[in-house]
Amino acid sequence: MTQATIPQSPHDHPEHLSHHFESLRQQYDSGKLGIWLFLTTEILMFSGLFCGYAVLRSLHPEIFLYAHRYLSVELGALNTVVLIFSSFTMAWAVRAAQLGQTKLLVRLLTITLVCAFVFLGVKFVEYKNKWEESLLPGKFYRPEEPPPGGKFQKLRETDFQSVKKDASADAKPQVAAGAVGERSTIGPAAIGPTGLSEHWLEGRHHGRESWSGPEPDNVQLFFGIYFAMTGLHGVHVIGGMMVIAWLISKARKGVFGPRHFAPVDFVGLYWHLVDLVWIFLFPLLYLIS
Amino acid sequence: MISSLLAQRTFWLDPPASTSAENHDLVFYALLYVMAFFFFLVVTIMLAFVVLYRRRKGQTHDNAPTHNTLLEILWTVIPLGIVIGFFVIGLKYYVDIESPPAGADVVDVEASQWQFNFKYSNGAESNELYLLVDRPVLLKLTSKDVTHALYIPAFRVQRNAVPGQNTELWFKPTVLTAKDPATGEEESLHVFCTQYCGNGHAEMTTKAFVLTREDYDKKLAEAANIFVDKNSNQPLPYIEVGKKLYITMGCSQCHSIDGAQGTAPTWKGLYKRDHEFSKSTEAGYTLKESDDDKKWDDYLQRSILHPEADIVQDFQNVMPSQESSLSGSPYKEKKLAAIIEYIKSLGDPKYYKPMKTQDLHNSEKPQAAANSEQPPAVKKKEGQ
Amino acid sequence: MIAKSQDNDNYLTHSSGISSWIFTLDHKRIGVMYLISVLVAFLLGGLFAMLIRLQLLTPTGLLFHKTDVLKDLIVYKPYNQIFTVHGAVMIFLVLIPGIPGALGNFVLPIMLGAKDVAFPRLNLWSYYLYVCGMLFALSSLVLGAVDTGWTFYTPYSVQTSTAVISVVFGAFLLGFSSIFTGLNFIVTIHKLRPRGMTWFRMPLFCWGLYATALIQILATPVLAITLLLLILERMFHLGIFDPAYGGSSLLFQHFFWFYSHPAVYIMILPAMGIMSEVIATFSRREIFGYRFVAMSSIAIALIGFFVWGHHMFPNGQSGPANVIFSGLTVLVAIPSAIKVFNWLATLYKGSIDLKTPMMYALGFFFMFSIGGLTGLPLAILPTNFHVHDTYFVVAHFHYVMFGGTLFMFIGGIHYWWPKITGRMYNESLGRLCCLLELLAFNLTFFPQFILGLHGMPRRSAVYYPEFQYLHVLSTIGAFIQMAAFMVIGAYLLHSLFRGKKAPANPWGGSTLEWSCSSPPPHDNFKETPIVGRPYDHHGLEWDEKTEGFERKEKELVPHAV
Ligand code: HEA
Ligand code: HEA
Ligand code: CUA
Ligand SMILES: [Cu+2]
Repeated sequence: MTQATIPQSPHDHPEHLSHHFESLRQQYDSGKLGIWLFLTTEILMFSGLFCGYAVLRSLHPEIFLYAHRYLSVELGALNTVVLIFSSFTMAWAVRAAQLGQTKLLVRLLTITLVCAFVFLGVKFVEYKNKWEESLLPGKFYRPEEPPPGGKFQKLRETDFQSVKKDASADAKPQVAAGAVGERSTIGPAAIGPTGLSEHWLEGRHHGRESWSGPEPDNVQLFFGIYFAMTGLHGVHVIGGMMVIAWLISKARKGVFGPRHFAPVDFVGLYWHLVDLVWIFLFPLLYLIS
Repeated sequence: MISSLLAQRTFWLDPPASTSAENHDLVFYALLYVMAFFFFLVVTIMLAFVVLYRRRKGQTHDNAPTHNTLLEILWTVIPLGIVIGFFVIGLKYYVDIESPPAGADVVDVEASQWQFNFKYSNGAESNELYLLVDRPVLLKLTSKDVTHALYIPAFRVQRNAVPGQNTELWFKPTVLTAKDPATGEEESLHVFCTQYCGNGHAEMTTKAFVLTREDYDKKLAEAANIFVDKNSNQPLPYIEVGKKLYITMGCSQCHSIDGAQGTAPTWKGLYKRDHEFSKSTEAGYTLKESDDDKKWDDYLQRSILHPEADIVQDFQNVMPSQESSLSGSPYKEKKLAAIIEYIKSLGDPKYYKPMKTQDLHNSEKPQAAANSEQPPAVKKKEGQ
Repeated sequence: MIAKSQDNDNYLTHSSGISSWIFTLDHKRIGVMYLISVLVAFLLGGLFAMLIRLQLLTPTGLLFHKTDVLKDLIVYKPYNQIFTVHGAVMIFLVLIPGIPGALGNFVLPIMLGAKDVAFPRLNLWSYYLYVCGMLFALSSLVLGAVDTGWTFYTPYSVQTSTAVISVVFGAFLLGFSSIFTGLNFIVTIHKLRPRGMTWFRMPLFCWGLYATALIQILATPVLAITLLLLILERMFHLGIFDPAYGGSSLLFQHFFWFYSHPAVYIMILPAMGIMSEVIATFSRREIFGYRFVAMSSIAIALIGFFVWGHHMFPNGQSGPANVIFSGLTVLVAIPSAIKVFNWLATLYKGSIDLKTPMMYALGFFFMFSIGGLTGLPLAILPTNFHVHDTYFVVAHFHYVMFGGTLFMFIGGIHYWWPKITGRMYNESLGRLCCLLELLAFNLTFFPQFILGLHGMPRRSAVYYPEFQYLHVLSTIGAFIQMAAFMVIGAYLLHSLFRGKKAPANPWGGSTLEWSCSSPPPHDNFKETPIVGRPYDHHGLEWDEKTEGFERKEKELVPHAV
């Protein structure tokens, strides 16, 4: 079998050709289109989250300015570097598969996998810190400390004590009436459970400068978004690790070569997507001001 | 002008009762004719072809055309023109819907599970909507819990009441609702909640009355002053006021007064009944028959203003705080007292000492309101 | 292998045993499994519909009403659960997977002369996900059926005590099932078309499925993330959709309709594809203006992405957004209008044979016109403010979903039944039931337009007595419908055992699936066929011996188009 020909009967199928395809070329093209479509759906799924992020951030810029300081830029940056590096080794691995360099392929895939482990490890540390500081979504958000950082701390270490939420109350957070109903000539239509919070305009003025007012309302929202986005991304990393591990086990048997590298190629595309998503997440969550 | 709206029903629509309803009907009937035209066009042609070209032996139409670009462009462009036309007409009236005239009367609408609370500029509150004929009115809606919607079919308008957001709706009623001369019953317009909001959604309905100035003022004055008997103009006993509030504030949705078990503890015998709590402000907090009145009063008040503080054994924390609905009212303290009085009256008679009606007059602000003809002035919120 | 394949070897007899079905990779068997599951779900959804209609027979509610003992509003809860389950089952379990999963899976590869879809294993996974999704969704019936309406609007869906999570997770899985089906179809259509079949020689059912698949791929992921966030909202109060925690319920509605509006086109586009097939076959004509019909499917799919806001006109959406969405919505009606007129023109000078599937197609004209045209008052702003969330909307969507999609689904089942099962059903019963169905349907749902215009809100367990007579009409209609469906079910079942053997081409269809035997062999075609123009009925003549149509003059050389 030197040439991929159109098979005459099922028996002279090339090794990796399924019975319903006519040629390896057709099979490869189908797979490629399939994986691209799949990646499209993944992107759309994340873009749902990004839209939610954009809407909430434009409604409540102050929350994001305030709360992102709880995140550790160093750890985030470390993870970014790790992922970008793993993307590089993954791309190289695809090349190795195409050239049939089995040993190199296994090595590169292993490095990629190790990077993924490192990424998850760092993520674990971050999550653990958030957990310990009760920087959690919704009603579980009740930190003891204001976020660290710059002039912010100087300005309002004391204010914070006075506005600090009662850590024991797990009632719904009290939300300011604020701008709600200000248009009414007869006072607020109601003290709604939410709405634009008081600091909305202030947040606007500050633009991308650091936030220095007292703790805004609804900071828990930031952590809702944070955990949803990084969590979903983390799940994708884990998914990627599983398929990479599967690739390694196959590669060690020397399955991949110039005539059969599609799986490596497709997983590679997936891994780049995971990387790409993180490259958006990092500035959006960690580098707000 | 006596209008019997129901008598004027037509097959498609009820008679319009506001300016926006008249506009709506114009657009709707125009649409109806166009829809009917196209429907009959399609169906007639279809039936004609089915009859004309039914399968017959030996008959073929090999020369039948397979496309005709001109025709196809035509039946793209004509419907396009029609729908764009309608869009533009719709837009014209939509702008109207979204632009309340300056100087419209304002009524605040607070929707909650499962009732509407209308607050008028004189401080009056009611569960039925009173409107002035030929006066534009602007409703400002909001919701205390989940999303609701206010819908008045006779006016052809609806708008959601969204928690955490203010929405607006305006219209100008043009037809009076009058007493039916035959039965003497007061006619009214239906008001529905059209956004699904839970168990009681189907019964979240009320009535709207379109009144003359005279009737309107009377209704509002009545509504403004729940502490006074509308016939004798004498102050009502607290317990009577409490009974009214039990309905209007929506307590009746969950608390029964006859001992029937519902979503929340029944008020019957609640006062000085031993209580266990699944959650409370201080650990081990209980209430006993023997506890003093002060402790009981505190508890009752807290349960109304901060219901999440103490949760009675076997019940869920589902009650919304009444803080906001009371603080919007100039009579917060009195209302609170009246409800507590009513609860106490439902307890064991041996513990119930009726509060003197006289107390009503002794308490602060609302006194003026209670006696004067004029409804109390708008109470400004601090900082405004 | 070639030697083994005998005349009577078909996909049903190719192998046997339960596991030969459960682990099959054959698109035809997967299609059949889908068909059975979807029909079971339909029966279930229909039974819940009957409960709705029973309850609404009297103003105070026939089944669930207040009594002297039970005055609490909780008595209405079962009703709310029933219409939610009805809506969710019909939409997520019947209409969305129905035509692509059952008929599409069976027919598409054969129409393309392919041996299977591009990814058979993924196809089986789609089916498994469907079944898991179904089990999760239905498990809520035991755990506390959801009472939020099929739209799951927050904050009510966060607040209610019912088993929202299991249903939402079920819908999440169903969403992935739908995505994988769509992905499979797109790749199949792109890569597995036979030689000679250019894009504009594809049967229109393939175009319909292709447009559907585009929506499935582009819209469903957003539903997935929405549902995921809703689950998290319920578990951890994430706060994104819940105003009590600073979120926005309107945001949820945007997310939900961003999927669910395109989803209504997921439902209608394949039905329109079947419509084209049936009309072409039974009037022995090439579809008039093939390119317009094909491209209008794509147009519907694309424009359909930008109109979702029309479900939220009075919901607190901003004025400019309302205007834009209204404008785009009226535009999306145009491609549908094009299709309707082109189908009409196809009848012109045809040779029309009123077999059962054709009856359903004619019914489609009738009902989809009403359903689609009543979409106009919904799309125009001032009129929407009157009828939004009333029975007018209920009537609109039953006309398009039932009268449009479900009618063509049932029509399609009748059309391909001989191909799928190898048996013929009772033709006169088929026509009779179709007619009965049409009449009963209109009796059920036409009064609901009037109810809506007079102001009857939807999702209400009780109503004012003045609405009663219309509700009674509606209930009567619903029961006649049920009877008709039971007869349909009965004669179809009967045909399986007693039906006449079906010829390869009982109707004179010109697409590829009619050129392989009924039921098709395991591999569909021994050699990939070469095809020419679609809908070429030349030389297809009735053959008394086989009691089917046979191609008399073979046309192997593709026509120049
Ligand atoms: C199969 C499903 C399906 C289809 C195909 C459609 C098709 C259309 N729908 Fe419908 N719709 C639903 C399912 C569907 N809908 C559902 C389920 C809901 C409610 C969901 C809920 O709230 O629970 C809904 C609700 C809904 C609303 C929101 C109502 C509200 O809640 O306030 C609107 C508003 O614009 C709308 C509009 C339209 C329009 C303009 C079309 C158009 O695509 C129709 C186009 C067709 C035609 C126009 C008819 C054929 C053409 C002719 C006969 C030629 C002549 C034509 C012209 C002159 C224009 N629909
Ligand atoms: C495909 C979609 C679909 C279909 C087919 C139907 C079919 C029916 N629907 Fe429903 N309906 C919805 C989708 C659908 N519905 C949706 C999405 C909602 C909104 C829910 C919400 O508000 O959240 C709704 C809501 C809804 C309401 C409004 C409830 C309310 O707002 O309070 C009503 C009221 O009359 C109703 C009635 C009916 C009736 C009588 C039928 C009947 O026509 C059904 C008749 C069918 C049967 C009785 C089944 C019989 C089947 C067999 C015997 C098996 C036969 C086997 C073969 C054919 C092979 N439906
Ligand atoms: Cu309130 Cu429905
Ligand atoms: Cu829509």
